[in-house]
Amino acid sequence: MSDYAVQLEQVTKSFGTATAVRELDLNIPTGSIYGFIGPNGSGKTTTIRMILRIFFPDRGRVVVLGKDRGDCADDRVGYLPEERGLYRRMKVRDLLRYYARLKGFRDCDAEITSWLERLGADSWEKRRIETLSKGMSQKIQFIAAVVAKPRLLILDEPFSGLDPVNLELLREAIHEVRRGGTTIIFSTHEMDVAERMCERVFMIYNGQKVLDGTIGDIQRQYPANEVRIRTETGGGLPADLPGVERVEARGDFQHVTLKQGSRADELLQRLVGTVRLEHFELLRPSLHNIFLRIAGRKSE
Amino acid sequence: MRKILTIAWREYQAMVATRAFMIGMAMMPVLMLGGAWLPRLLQGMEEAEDRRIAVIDRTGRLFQPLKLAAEHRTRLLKADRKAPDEISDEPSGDVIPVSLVLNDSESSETAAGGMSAFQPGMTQRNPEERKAREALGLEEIHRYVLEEVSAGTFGDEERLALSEKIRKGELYAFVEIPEDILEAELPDLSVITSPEQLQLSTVTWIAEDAALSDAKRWADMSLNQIIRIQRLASTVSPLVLPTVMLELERKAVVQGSGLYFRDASGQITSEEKPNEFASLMLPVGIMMLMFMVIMMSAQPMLESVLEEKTLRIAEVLLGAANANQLMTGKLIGNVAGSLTVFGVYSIGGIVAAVCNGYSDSIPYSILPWFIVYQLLAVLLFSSVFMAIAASVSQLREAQSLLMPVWMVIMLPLFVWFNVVREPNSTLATVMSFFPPSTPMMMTLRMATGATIPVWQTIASFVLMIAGTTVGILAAARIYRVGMLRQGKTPRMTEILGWLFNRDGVRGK
Repeated sequence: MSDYAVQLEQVTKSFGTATAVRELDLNIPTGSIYGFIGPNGSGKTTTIRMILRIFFPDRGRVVVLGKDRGDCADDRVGYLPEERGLYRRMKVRDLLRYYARLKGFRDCDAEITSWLERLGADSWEKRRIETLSKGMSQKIQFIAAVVAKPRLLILDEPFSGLDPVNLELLREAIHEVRRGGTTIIFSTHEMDVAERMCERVFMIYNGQKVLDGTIGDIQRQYPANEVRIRTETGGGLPADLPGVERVEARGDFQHVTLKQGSRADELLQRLVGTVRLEHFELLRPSLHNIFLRIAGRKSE
Repeated sequence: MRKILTIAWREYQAMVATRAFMIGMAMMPVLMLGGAWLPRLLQGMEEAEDRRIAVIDRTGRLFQPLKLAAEHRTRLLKADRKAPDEISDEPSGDVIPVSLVLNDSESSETAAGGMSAFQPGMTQRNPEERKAREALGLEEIHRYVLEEVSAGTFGDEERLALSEKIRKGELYAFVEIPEDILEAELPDLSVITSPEQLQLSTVTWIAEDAALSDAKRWADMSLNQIIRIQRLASTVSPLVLPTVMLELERKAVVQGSGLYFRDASGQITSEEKPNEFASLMLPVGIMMLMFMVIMMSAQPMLESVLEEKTLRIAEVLLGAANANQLMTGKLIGNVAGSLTVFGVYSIGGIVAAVCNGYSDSIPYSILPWFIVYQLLAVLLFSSVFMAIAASVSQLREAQSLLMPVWMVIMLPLFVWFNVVREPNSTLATVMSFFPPSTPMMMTLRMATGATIPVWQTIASFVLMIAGTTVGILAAARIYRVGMLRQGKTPRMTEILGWLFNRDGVRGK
């Protein structure tokens, strides 16, 4: 088996005069949960559609599960699109059976039953899709994506519209699929979700890759520059602290943003003799913050 | 192929196994035939009333016979509403017996001129009977009550007064008969150059529905017959007048017959006598069946593609099958659905024909052509509907794009009558070579029983195959690009542009 489930080599895709994806290189390790992050219109969906072979690149090469040819998605690829694609008048089981058979999985009834039970949806199997709530439809769409036992699963915003209980249920289901050896591409524009779900993330912005690696690597690339402090009295901090760019009060805490090159331990030393500290925490940058920094830099 | 069949099966089920489809299938012939039956049904529910007609008779000789003719008609009308075994003593079915016109009770009733084809209580199974009923004004159930208005001082004031009465509903119509209508001499036949020069003076009929009224038609027929009898009475002996009138009414029937051929035993024989009713209704019935099947196939295709596009199902499907597989599967499912419709209607039609004694008229020989053309028509139009649905985001937008398509589909419906009468006319031939019209035109022509030149059959079939192929390929391109496009509706020029470049979906 190849080390990579998906490989993109210098892939470019344009629509008319607009370039959606530019010279993109990407290697998605087999068996990983790989986050695709980026704002709307950044090129995520175009990249996914090229992996699914709905679109074909103008230049470059797309290798999916070891194959770089084919005019439609490999049957071993499952896909949950951002916008739900379910026939409203079909019954749940009929619809799941149809999607499984389209993927070449004919004896799918046992698998359908198993997934319906796992997601607590077994009582809906005879209901028409149009009678289901958004959360219920989301679960059915997820089952449709995994029912044919894919080796590569592409999930585009899988948690949208879910309440916390169902979100947790689906999160566990995704990890279960992954434990079965399936590679998962997890596309989202919610950085927090990507941080919690993925080992590796790929960030795309204006059609170009701006980040690619494990969460830890990325966070190391972007050192911590924020400190969260609470004093014993809950009061403010002295005004003339060295190396501090700005201080914001957030509830009982003071959020301190350090100037570039400043060190948190120097700040701590200075504070120790000045105020009585109750909490001092160095905050690692979130993907959200990193993204904002990159987006800010790019737009300058 | 497996994916195509999976898609086709779902498409077929979605099309056929729905309540809407079942209802549609049941309703379609009801609606189409209902258009013909409804007027009769409503007429049957209508209450007969007296229609008062004022007559200004400047001759002084026509009102009385016309009044008697109206009363005669009323008697026939009553008889016509009764069962045949109850009307043995009713008067004969002549338009106007000569005795009524000449006020001569001794003249023989049986020697009267008129539409002797009419028998009270008869049905209208053939055109002759229908013509006879029309001549007697029996297509309308109302009674005509004639009253005379003095012609002496009749002028515009009186016309206005009678018109007011008509507006108030007190009068139905008034008719003015000119003074010289009976005396006008026959012009010198040597100087006659047009039929108009033989015409008598004009009788004026004034009513709210003056143009198309049944009563006017009855008055026209009756007055002319009365005038003819009275004019002849001045030169022909009353003793022979009934015979003369009868002679004037007699005519030879020109009856159609099939071509002669030598049969298997070597005998020369002719084809069966063509049935006028079947000759007209059969081609139309076959064409309407084809049209219904197209309608019932293309519309579900439109809705299906629109649903897949607007609900983003297409993205899931295209993640499992390519656009060509998807489109092919959908077309196969659609064609299978159309065959179901076709099968049900055809069997129904054959059963109806057999039950009504038209089993000999069923053109089994054109059935294979019919099936092939039906399939090609469904493929062509479903592809077009599919492409249009893929181009838009809402049904409303699709409907505006479909307007010209519907016009093209319905083109044969506008000209069917001319084509049935002249199956090998230039119009019929030209339209047979226009692929969107070819299926309906060719089956319509074949169903008339006319001999269509072999080259035309082959050429139109080849053109149809080519047209359908081009249509499907063009639709496939539009479908591929359109299905994943969202946002504003593309202009027609933009859609046509998709045909010639692959931008949007395929790279290399």
